[in-house]
Amino acid sequence: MRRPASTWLVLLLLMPALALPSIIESTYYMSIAVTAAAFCVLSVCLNLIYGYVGLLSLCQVAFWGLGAYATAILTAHHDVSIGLALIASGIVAVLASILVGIASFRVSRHSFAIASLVFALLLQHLAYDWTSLTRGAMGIPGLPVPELAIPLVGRVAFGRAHDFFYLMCAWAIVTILFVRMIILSRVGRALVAIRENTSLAESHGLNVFRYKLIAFAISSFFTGVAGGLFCLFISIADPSVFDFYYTEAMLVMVILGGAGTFWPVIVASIVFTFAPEFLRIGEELRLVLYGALLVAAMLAMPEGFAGFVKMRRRKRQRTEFSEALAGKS
Amino acid sequence: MAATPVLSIQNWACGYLDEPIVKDFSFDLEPGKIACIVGSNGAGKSTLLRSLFGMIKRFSGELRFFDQPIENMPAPRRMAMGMSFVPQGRCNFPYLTVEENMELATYTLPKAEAAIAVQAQVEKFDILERKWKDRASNLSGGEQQIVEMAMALAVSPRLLLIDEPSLGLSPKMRTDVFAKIKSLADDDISVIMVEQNVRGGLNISDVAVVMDLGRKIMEGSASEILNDPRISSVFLGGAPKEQAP
Amino acid sequence: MTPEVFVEVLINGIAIGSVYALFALGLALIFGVLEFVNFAHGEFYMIGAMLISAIMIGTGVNYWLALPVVVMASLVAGVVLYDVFWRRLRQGDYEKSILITIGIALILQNGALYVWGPTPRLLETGFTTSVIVLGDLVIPVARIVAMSISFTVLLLVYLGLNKTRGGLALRGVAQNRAAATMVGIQLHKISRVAVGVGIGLCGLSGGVLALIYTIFPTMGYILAFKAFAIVIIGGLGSLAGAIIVGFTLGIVESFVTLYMSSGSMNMLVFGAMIAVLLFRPLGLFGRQLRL
Repeated sequence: MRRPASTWLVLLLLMPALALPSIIESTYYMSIAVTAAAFCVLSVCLNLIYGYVGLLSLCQVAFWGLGAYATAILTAHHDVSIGLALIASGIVAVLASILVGIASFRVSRHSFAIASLVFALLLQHLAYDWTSLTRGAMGIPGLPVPELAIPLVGRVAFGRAHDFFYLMCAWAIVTILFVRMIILSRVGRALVAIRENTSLAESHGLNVFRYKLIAFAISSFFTGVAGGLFCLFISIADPSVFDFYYTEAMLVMVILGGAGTFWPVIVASIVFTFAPEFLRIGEELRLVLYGALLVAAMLAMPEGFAGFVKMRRRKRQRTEFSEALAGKS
Repeated sequence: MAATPVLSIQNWACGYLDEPIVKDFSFDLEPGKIACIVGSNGAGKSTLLRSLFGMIKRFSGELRFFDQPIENMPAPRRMAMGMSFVPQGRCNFPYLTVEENMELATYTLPKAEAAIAVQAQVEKFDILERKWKDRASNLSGGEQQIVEMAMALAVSPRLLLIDEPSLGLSPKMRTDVFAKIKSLADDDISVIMVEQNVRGGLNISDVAVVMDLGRKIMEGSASEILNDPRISSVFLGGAPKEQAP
Repeated sequence: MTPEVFVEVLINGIAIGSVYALFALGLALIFGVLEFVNFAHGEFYMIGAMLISAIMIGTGVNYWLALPVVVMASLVAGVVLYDVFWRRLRQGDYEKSILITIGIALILQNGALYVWGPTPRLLETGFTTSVIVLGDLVIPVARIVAMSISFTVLLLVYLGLNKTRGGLALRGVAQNRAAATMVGIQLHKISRVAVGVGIGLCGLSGGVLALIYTIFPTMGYILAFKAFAIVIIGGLGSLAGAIIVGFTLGIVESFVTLYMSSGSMNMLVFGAMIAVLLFRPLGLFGRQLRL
């Protein structure tokens, strides 16, 4: 099962994507590409916590929104540098994940799903109502443009979608590499052991609670920073970053890609960010479609597309096997 | 051949997922007899019992209950025909009173019959009356086992399937429970019992079946099996009275 | 606070609390029997409210005719939900069940947005703005109506669960499925009834709360927050817990929002939920008040 080389191979195959900004002229499509990179981070993180640990976290959007607000408040109201603000975003998200995790991991998986959802809903309410901090529905606009001093190139401002794409991609790649490393490590095997049989893992001396918390914290960190980056990209943080839309999109990507498989989930993130744009349907119908896809996927191919293919292959092999047996007798 | 067997199992295979756990199992139970199925952990005893009641998947084989094929019937139908099952572990309703438990036990009967059936059990098991208004979860393990038996018997079955009746009971309670099972034969109720406590189980049984790895490896009268040196060395571990826990 | 204001606020709290109780009761009933959490519960409530408004505007019938139609429609929706989706799932498939209900919630909410648009509307009944004046006391009729309906239905559910054989069987299934099979209870039949009644209660609470609040397609999402907190605080699957906490929340909210923003109130609810998870993970009433 261990094929760490595939990580580099896939990244190599993705290299041409970096040429996109010079091919695509439309800012609109480039913005979607930035969103796709952000969704890669979100779904890789959700996949880590749901696909590999088996915890259905419905509050990834809370970390994403917390990250966005932390970056916005720090850069716009407190003149903190962007780099520092982004790191702070990650840390705020981690602190929140620890709070939710400690409160709900010990109980049951139902309680975790509910508590995480309630937490996400609470944050959106807060973003609307805590006006002294968040300016409510108006949001915090006019965020600064990230700039980076790159050797040989000089100072680069990431103002346009074409430039911001590189920034979001860089974060997506860092996330992918780090999460991939975690999954292939000893920690990753422990996480899968927990998903498969929690009490067995416990009886083998694994500190299940601690491993779950570590995985949750990692996924919230990367999600939080991505949220910070995203609000810099759209230059505003408002309560819509907590929208359930993100949760739903993430779920569709992870579930249809195949929770617990690595690359298919990333492919699904890209496909499901672009597909609705090409279908040109309104947001309501898009979400209806997502809902229908989710339900259909759960009924028809609960292991996701990757699992579906695997199952078909296994079934075919079995038929061939039994046909071979029948032929012999 | 003597009277029609209560239950006739032919080439039975059953299990949970793709692979059968119990394979090629055949056995006939004579009326009024108590059969005890023994075997090591994972031999497939409980799986067999559950499949006889129609709770898990059948792969192949025939099952006849008083000469009627029942292998395709769902559990409630088998129950209506006179088969009762007491599964392993607690199978009462913990937050209901003993009275309500008995009421649910006769859920499948018409109301008037139900009351009579419950009354009959109350007369047979005096514990029911004493604990009538208590919640089942407040009873001791042995008392709960008796209530569960009374629940299974309330529908006047002709065959009782009972899984590990002595599990977790004190020696005194165990003797009581075994005595109750033994007395069922007087009411013409046949029993198939799975029991880890081999010696206690075989003592009250007429016939015994030894299972290993999902197959029947031996069948005989209970005393034969009990005195078979190979059996005692494998299952009784040479222990004088009780099987080691 | 004058005694009159106190009484008015209290009545308001009881009225809203009684509807919370109905809503949370449905959620708890379904969880008690199936051990599945219905994440589309808020949306069925929203559909209940939107539907009653649509029926009343569309056909011109009055509230008392439209309400039973909404309840029946919700009941049927619950039965369909069970037979089409939940019936196929096994015990322990709860992630699957959560995802299916989230998918259904998405379809309902955005379908409603598509059909009805986001504009909030008010249910126009003959008594929407009527009040009863008793001395210095001013009580809106709509609140009295909401309260009466909720109390009647809560009483009916109580009697149904405790005084009928079907209710007893339902409690039996909730307590021990293996034992229920042993005594010959048909699990599917009972589960179908539980889900039908649960969604029926949910649609009813939508129809009743529509008397008090404005209605719009995203309203379910807001109530769901409270309902989930209610069932966690009361204990998952505890019917009495859901009712007691539902009432308490309605009353507390009614008083607290006199002094605090609704945002702070939500923080309070969330804080209470976290505290319960930390210190009484089985809920305030634990197993003692289970179905």
